[in-house]
Amino acid sequence: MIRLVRAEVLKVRTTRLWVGLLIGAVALDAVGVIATLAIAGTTEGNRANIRPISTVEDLQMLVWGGAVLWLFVAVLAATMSTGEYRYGTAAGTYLATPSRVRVLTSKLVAALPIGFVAGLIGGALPVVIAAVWFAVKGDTLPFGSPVVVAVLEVGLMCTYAAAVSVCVGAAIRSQVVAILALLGFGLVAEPLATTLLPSIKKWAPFSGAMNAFAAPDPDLFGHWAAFGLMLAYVATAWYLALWLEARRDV
Amino acid sequence: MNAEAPAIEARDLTKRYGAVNAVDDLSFGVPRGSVTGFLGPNGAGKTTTMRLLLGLAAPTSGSAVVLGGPYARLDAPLRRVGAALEITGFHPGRTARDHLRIACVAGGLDVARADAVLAMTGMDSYRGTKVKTFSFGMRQRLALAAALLGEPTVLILDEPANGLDPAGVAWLRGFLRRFADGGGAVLMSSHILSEVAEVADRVVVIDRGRLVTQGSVAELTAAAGERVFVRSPSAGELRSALIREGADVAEEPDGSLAVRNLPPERVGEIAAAGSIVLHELRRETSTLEDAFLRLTTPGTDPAPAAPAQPSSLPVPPSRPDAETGP
Repeated sequence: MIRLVRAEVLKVRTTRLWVGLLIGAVALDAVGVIATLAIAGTTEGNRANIRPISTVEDLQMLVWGGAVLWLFVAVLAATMSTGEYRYGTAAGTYLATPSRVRVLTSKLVAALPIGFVAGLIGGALPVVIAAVWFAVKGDTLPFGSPVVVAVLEVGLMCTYAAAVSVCVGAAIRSQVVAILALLGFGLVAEPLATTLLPSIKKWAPFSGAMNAFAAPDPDLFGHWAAFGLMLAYVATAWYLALWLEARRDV
Repeated sequence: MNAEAPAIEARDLTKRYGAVNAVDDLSFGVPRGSVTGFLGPNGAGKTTTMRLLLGLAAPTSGSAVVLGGPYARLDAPLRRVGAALEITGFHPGRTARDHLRIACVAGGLDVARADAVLAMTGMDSYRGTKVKTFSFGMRQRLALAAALLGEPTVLILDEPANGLDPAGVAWLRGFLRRFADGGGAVLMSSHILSEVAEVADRVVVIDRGRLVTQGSVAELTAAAGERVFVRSPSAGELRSALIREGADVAEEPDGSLAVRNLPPERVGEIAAAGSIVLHELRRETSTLEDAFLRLTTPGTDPAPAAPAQPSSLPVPPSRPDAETGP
């Protein structure tokens, strides 16, 4: 299994897709952080309810904003599965490892560190930008261990997004459809549904289970329950993907 | 595992897509130490059969056996079987070497094999080049390189000569011959029948998913028979005389007569007996292409009356829908 996971990581490393996606995602994250820092404490910032970064909790909020990298992670993880069919490499993959269980499991396992590292980047970047911003202004950054925990939480959120997305990609196979389905669900369908039916929000895969590790929200589950829900979603997605893949011809 | 057993065996293999039987009750074997050509018209089911053999598609019924069992149950399959299928693709943004390194890691092979097979297939100068810049022939070489990674004893190759330049075709021919002579088994589909005739020991011919015939190339071409071509200014008179003697005579586009069932000596004697002038009289032995076309083209006689079909060669199945065309 270890060699299969290594092969999956090598597949990601040997194309440039991840570089482009990471640059785009980091740029998106950075723009959001800089905009927040720039307007926090101003009249426009107060009007938009953006508080100045004066406490550790304020910095935590900035860090959780780095979870926007889940979008990058979702696309990359989905392509780990869909790319096999888009480029016809699935035949070679299954010739080397005929077991579909092992191939899909190795993709899932390989996606976890990729998602975690991306999440750490997404979580750490706001701290780095804020540190530079405060240093330039001659202020002291309100840093503390809760900030480190928040960075790890962003890592966990992105790990979860990677795990779900690699399975969704394997289940759907079409790259465009899988990416549109993930982003459409996470950015449009789920927020709309949870706005219309707030009682289901805590059960929602992204705005419920995943966001339980972001800014405190009394409508969501606690960390352990949310973590259990994440595991349930990943297990369900993995099983569904496997069930479909086992019935497909390559 | 029985050393005498075929390295590859299809047993009553059937693959149905909806109402279409892509592969229909197909049985054949590929012995060790041989190159077996896998022939059939477009859409005959060759690639589907190969996918079934390699576990990439599940049969509707029957079984596909490679080295004693289903491909999926092989331990370290890349070390046992090398395959290059038309459906095998490459990520365009990956280099040739990276593509092979990934296969090595996934297959538990030494990554140094990537460079070795690139050198073997004449691709060593392109190891760092991205696949998107490759011509069709270079992709074909890369697919062959991937098939050879694990130094397998069985090769399953789908149209391996397609797109190769003459030097590549010559290399492939020599390689496959040496591979089989070393005890390996090769199943190779191809549309280049002259290539198959040069390298293959045996052929399996299928059409519309069904076995048409299998046997040695020599048996197949002998079964297709030979023809005598005769050209005469009195072609009509000669034709009548030959038919009276029991010949099967067909008129060729250039006006000459193609005669079956009579040797050239007898054709000459008949012409002499009727004082018919001949401008040309020659024997033409059937090629693999003649045999293939005769077996797979609707409306042609799949089993000529003479010479007699060797007993080891199965009689082609009746094709009641032959007139509808492929």
